[in-house]
Amino acid sequence: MPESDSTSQSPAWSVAGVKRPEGPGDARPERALLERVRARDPEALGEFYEQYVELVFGLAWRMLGERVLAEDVTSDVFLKVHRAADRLDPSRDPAPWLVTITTNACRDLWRSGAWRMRRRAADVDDPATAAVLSTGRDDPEQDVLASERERLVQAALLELPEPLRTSIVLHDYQGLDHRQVAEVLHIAHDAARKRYSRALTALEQKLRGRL
Amino acid sequence: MSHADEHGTDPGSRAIRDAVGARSHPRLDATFRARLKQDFMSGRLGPLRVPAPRVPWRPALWLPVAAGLVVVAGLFANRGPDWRVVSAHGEGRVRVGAASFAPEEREKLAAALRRGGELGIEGAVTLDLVAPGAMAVTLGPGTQLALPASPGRWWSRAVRARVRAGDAYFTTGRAFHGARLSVSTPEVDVLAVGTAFAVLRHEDGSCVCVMEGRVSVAKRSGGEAVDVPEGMRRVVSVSGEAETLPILEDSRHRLHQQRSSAGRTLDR
Repeated sequence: MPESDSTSQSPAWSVAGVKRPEGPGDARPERALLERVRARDPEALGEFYEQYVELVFGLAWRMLGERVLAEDVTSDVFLKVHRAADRLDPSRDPAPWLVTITTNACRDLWRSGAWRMRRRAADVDDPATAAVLSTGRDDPEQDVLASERERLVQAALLELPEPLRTSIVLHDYQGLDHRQVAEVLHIAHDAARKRYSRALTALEQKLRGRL
Repeated sequence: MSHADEHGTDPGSRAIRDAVGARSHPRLDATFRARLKQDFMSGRLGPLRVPAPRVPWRPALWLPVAAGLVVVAGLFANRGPDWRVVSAHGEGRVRVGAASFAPEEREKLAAALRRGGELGIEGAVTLDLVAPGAMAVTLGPGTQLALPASPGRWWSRAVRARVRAGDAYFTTGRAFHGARLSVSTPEVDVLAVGTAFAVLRHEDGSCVCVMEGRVSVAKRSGGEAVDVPEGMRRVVSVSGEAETLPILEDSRHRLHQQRSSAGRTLDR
């Protein structure tokens, strides 16, 4: 398993934002592809990137609420993947590992002074935010309502303490179950469940009467 | 997985979960996406963009450590002066605990009893000790004494010595002010608050001789404590009989001697 921030990978993981190869059978990338990623074959790296970049960026964006920071984290995650490629285990699904290092990179950012400085200057009403969020609907009125709803949820999410925010993003947005969240955050299964409950309560309090 | 049925089923909770779940998927900027892909494929990725996290200051961790350091520093600063050997002469040996020293081995002797200890004078040795500024003790031949550490500067100001046998002469110094010295023998308990006195313990009983100030002497067998004024001595026999008499010239002389040898060190 590459890098110290990795976690044990479960073949049963199904992570939102992963572009899976079409066709029946196991949704994990082919072992052959991961073998080539290990060898840093450019073509395989490109394929790997296409499969996972949206997962990494989506997760980072939901965690950070800002496009530029999410792009920075995405760059960092792929830099780490490139550096650690030779330690990739082709028999395991790389998605949990990517979720873990993305989550850790976001947490590093939160704990750095840079995050606090950016947060003072950043605004969730930033037009860039609207551009990133694409509902894909043709109804302008629905789009406005959905956009407003998104803005409120994202703003409330960013107000949550870091552990609670991570819990909501991994569980509700990324689609991980509590066991998987516990693996990513290195906490007990029960602790992950309780943390999610507290996160949901806190989010409810912030959004009550506003949705 | 379906978590809707696990965490709150009221309409408010459901609305929140729906709102979270309905959020759209953010899309990566096409230009950035393409550039990052090229960099990833070619391995031309630059240094990490996210700064290393600052190590958070953890008061919960540091406060006990700081408090511990303050306590240790306080205990160290409170320590009274170490005992020093002013003179040791005569034939015989001085025992400190299990160790035994010749009178000439003053440095070793001083190192052994810096913070006090069980002292025994074997043979015809006279030992003069001083805790600078606080207290001086002279031990005559055959004396067995539990010597306490000198009194602390701010707290632990009460010290207790025990004379099992022989003659012990005590003189307190300026730094002793406010401290309490109690000396016990099998027959008496002596309490002094800044004075010069001797406690002589022999087979037939104990004698407390006061050259300066006033000490309180209580029989261990019971009864009221008696204040012994300057120039007087209190004699308590093994059988419990007690009387107060004028101090003997020899005791006065010995206490004068002690004052003259340790007076400067005691800052009297």
